[in-house]
Amino acid sequence: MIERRHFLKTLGLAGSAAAIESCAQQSSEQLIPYFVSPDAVVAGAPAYSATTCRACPAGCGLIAKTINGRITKVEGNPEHPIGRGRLCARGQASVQSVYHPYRFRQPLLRDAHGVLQPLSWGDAEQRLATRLREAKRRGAGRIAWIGRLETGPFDAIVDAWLHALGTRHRLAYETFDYHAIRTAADPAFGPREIPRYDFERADFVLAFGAEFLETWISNVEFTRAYARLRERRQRDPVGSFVWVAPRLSLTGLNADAWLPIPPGAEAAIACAIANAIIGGGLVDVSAAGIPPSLRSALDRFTPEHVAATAGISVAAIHEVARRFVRAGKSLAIGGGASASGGRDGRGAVDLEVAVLVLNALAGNVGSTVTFGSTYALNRLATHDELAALTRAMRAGDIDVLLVHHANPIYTLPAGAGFSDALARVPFVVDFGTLQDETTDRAHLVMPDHHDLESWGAYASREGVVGLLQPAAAPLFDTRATADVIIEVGRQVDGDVAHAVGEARWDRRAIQAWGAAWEEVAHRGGGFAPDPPVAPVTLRDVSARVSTISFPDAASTLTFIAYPTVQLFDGRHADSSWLQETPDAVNQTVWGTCIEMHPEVAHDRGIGEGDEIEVASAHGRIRARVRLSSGVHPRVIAMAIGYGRTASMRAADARGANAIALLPAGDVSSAIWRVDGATVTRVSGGKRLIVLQADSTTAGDRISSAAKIVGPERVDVRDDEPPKTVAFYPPHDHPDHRWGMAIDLNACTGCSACVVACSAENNIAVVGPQFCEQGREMSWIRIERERHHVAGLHGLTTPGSVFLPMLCQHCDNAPCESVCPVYATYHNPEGLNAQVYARCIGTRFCSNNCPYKVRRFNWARYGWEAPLGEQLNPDVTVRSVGVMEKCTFCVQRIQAAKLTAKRDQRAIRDGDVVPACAQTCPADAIVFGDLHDPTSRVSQLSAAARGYHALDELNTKPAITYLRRVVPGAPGRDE
Amino acid sequence: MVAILAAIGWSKTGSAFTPEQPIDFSHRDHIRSDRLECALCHSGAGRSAVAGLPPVERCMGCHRFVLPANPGVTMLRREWEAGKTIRWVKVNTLPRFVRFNHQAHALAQVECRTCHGDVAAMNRIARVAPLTMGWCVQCHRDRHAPDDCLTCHY
Repeated sequence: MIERRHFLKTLGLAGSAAAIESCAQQSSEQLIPYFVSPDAVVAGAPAYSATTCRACPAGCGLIAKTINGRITKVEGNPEHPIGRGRLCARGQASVQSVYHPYRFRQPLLRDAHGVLQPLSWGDAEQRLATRLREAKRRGAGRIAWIGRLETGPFDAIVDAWLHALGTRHRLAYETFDYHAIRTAADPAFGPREIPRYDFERADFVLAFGAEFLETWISNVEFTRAYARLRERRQRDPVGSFVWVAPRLSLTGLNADAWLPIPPGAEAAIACAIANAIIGGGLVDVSAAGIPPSLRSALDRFTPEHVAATAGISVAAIHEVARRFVRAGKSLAIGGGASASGGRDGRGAVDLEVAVLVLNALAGNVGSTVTFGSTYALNRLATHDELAALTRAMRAGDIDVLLVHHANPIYTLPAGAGFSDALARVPFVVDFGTLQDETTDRAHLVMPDHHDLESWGAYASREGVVGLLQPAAAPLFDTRATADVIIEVGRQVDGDVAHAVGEARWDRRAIQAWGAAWEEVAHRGGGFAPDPPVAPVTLRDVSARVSTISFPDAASTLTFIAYPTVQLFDGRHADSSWLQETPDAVNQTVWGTCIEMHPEVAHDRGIGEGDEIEVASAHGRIRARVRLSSGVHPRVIAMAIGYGRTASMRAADARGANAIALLPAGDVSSAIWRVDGATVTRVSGGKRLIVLQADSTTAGDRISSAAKIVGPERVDVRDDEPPKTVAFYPPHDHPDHRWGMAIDLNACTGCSACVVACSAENNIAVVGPQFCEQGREMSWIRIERERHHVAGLHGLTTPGSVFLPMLCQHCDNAPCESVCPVYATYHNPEGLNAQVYARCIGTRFCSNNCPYKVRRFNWARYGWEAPLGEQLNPDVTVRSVGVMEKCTFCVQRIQAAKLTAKRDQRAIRDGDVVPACAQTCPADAIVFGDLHDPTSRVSQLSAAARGYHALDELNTKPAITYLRRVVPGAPGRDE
Repeated sequence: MVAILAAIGWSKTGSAFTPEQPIDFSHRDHIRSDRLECALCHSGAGRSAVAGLPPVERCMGCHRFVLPANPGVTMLRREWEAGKTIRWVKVNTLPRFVRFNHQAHALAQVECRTCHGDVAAMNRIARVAPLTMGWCVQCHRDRHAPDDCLTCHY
C-alpha cells in the first residue's frame, strides 16, 4: 500500500528526470548546404528581381522577393511609372498563385473518357505540330489564337508563327475592353484610342460610373494620383469628386457627392450637363470653337426635361455643371456596367461621346485628357471580331484553336455562342496555368510558366516597357509558351521554322533589349519620357449626339454585373486570399450577394439574406440579397467572378455567375447590364457571410472610430484632450517609438494592405465555414463606416469612410494587463508585443481589446502543398491555441536596424516600411519613429485632422488617424 | 532525492553533444593546419541570419587536388560525382521559437568561439555552450544588448 504523498513525490521525481532527460537531448536536425551555390544568393538573405505584374492589363512594375529560391512577397517597383512602387490587392495576391495546389504540373491530354492524362512535352508538342501541319495544309485561316493582351517580343513571335501557319485569326481578348472609349474618340477627335487621364492635375473629377479606383484601366496609377488630388483640394467647400451612376461602387463611395440615376441615363444626363454649361455661358475659352450644330444637337437635352425623365432634380444637374466648370482643371470620365447595352446596344459609346464633349467644353482636352499615349488596350479585339471568329468556329472552319491566358467560356455570356462554337473545333489547346472553365473544354493542356517564372516584356502604354524576368525557377514541369511555339514551329514545316527562328526564348527575351539589358534588369524595364501629346480639336459629333436617347421611365428592374477590385473579371477566383478579403462595399467573403434597395425589397417581401431567383431573357441564377441604399431602386447588382464550375474546390465555389444573365455583346463591347430582370423570392434569411460586425444594412453602421471633418475645419484640431489619470504609469521609450499615421481622406478601401499583410505575415486562410463564425485571421481589416451628412443641392453625400483597423499598439493597452502569463507586454520601442511561445490561449486579451484586432487560432489551419513554399521564414507560423495580431511588421523593424548597424548609421525615416504601408496605392499609411520630429509620421500625427480611434477609452494608441474631409460635415462629427 | 536529480542532470550535460557526421570532417585539421578563417566557409555569418555551410562546390575547390586518397575526401568526391549534397547533423540547434541572427552577433563583434567553443581544437564539432535562454540573456545584459522579448521571439 503506497502512501499518497510518497506516490506523488515519486511521480514528481520521475517527471523531472524525464524533463532533464529531454532538456539535454538534442534534436537531430540536418544542415543541408547547396550543392552549387546560385549566383549572388546568400542563404537566408532575400534576393530581389524586378519584373512586371500581369494580374490585370494595367501592367504595374513589380519587385519579387525570394528567399532560398522561393518567392515570398511581391512589392511594387518604385522605378516603374505605372504603380510607382505600389501594388493593388490583385498584384499582392499574385505570389500566392505561383504555389497554388491546383496549378497544372505537366502537359495533359484528354482521353476518350474526357479525363486529362499526363504526357511528355515531346509527345504534346508533336501532337500539336501534327495538327497544325494538317490544318495549314487544308487551307488558310484554319488555325485561331485567342489570348490575353501581349506586347513586345512575345507578341511578335506569336504573330510571326501564326502568319507562317497561314492564318490571321489572332484575337487579343480582354473581358473589359474599353471599346466604347475608342469608338467615341474616333468621331470626336480623330485618334481611335483611349486617352490618357491625368487625375493628379485635375482639380475636379466627374465620373459616370467609371471605377477608376478599382478596375478601370489602371487603378493603382489612378488611385495614387487621385489621393494627391484629394489632399490638394481638401479645403474646397464642395469637394472634388462627383459620382453619377445607379450604384455606389467602391469608387463611388469615395466621392464627395453622388447623383443616383436610373440605369442607362448616363449619356442623357451628361448631355444635360453640357446643355447647362452652354446655357449658363460657362464654356471654357479654349473651347470656343464648338460647332453650332453640336450646340443645337444638345438643345433637346434641357436639364428640366432630362431631370424629369430620369427622376432627379434639376438643381442637381445645374450643381454638377457648376462644379465641373468652376474648378481650375476638371476631368470627366465614363464607363461602368450600367452605361453599357441600352436600347440599341450603343449605350456605352453614347456615354463616351457625351463625356468627351463635356471635357471639350471645360477645356480639358490637351491638359487632363490627352491623346497620343497609345495604350496597348487599343489593340484589343472588338466583339465584332470575336463574333466573326465564333461564326468561323461554328461553321467548322477552324481546325485548331489555341487559348492563351483567356477564359472566354466563363467571361462571355451564353448568347455569344462561344461555348457551342467551341464544341465544333476538333482540337483545342490551352496554355493556361490553372484549371478554369475553358481548360475544361481543351483537348490538350500545355501549361505556361507562371508570370513570375516567365521571360518577356509588357508595355501597357507607349514609353513604358516593363521587363518580365523569372523571380524563381519554374516550380513544375511547365514550359514557356514561346518555347513551345519555337519547338512546334520547327516541327511543322520549313516556313514556320524559318519564321520563328531557333534561339531559345530566354535568350531572345534578353537580346531584345540589346545593350540596355544591364540597366533594364535593374530598373525593371525601359522607361522613356511620355510621348508628345497629339494636338486634337473637337470635330462635329452632332450626328452622334442626335442619336442619344432619353432614359425611359420603365418600372422594371435592371440587373447589372460589376467587377470587383479582388476578382476583376473572375480570373482571381482561385486565390483564397482574395476570396477571404471582404468586399469593402458589402463586406461579403467567399461568395457574393445581390444588392437591392431596401424599399424595393420591402415591397416584394424580401428581407436581408433571403435567397432570390433572378431571371432575364438570357438565363437565371439564385443568390442571396444584401439590402443596400447604395443602389438606385430600379437596379439590382451583383459582382462578377463567382459561381465557378472550375478553378476552385466545389466546396469553396459559392455564389452564382452573374454573366449567366447577360446578353451577348454588341459590335463595340461587352454588355454588363440587362433590363427587365424579374425577381422571385425562393427562401428565407440565412445570413450572408459578412465580416463586419454591426452591419445590418450595408454600410449603415455609425461609429465613432471613423471621424470626418468639413473642409472649412481641416486646420482645427478637434480631438479629446488626453486624460491624465490612468492605472499604470506611462511607458518609457528610451530610443525609438514606432507609430503610424493613417489618412482616412486618402484611403479608398481597396484592401491592398489586407492582402499584403497576409503575404508578409503568414496569415492563415480559414475558409468560408470559419469566416461564418467570425474566426477570420486577418490582422488588418477595412471597416466601412457611414456618416449621415446632408447632401447639397439635390446631390447625395455618400458619407462613407474606409477605416483600416489594426492593432493600435496602445501605450495604455487594455490587453497587456490581463494576460496571466505575460505573453503580451509593451516593448521599449512602443510595440505591443505578442510572444507566441508563452501564450496559453486564455483569450482574455482579445476580450479586453476594444478594437477587436486580436485574432485567435481556433484550429490548426494548414497550407496545402505547395502553398507552404510562399511562407515568409522571417515570421513565425502560429499554431492552434495561440493569439496573434499585427506586429507593425517587427521583422522589418529588426531587419532595418540590422542594416543600419551594418552600415554604421542611425535608422533613417523611411527605412522601416510595414507591408501595408509599402503597398498602399493611395499612400494612406505612413509608419515611422514618433521620437523623430522630422519624420513623416510625427508631422502627420501632429496634423490638425489627427485623432485617436476610440480615444475616450484612454488607450493612447500609437496610430493617429487623420479625419476624412467630407464637404457638408458639421464642425464636430455627430 | 535532490542529489539524484543533480546526478541525472549532470550526467546528461557533462558529455557534450558530439554527433557523428556523414563525413568525418575535422575542423581542427582545416583550421590549425591550413589556417582557414571561419567566414571563408561559413560566409553567411556576417551577412545573413544563418551562417550557413559552404556548398559542396567549395570543398571541391581544394579537394579536387588536395588529399585525394583520404577516406573522407573520397566520400566527398563520391557525393560530388553523384550530384548529391551532404546532409550534416546540426550541432548547435536552437528551438524553433527562437530567432537567432548571426549577422547581428557578428556586427556586435561577438567572437564565434563564444557560442561555438574552441572549434580550432575540435575534430568533430561538439556543442559546448548550454545555449539556454538564461545563458543568452545573461550575455545580452552583460553587453548591454537588448533583452526585450521581441528581440528573439516574434
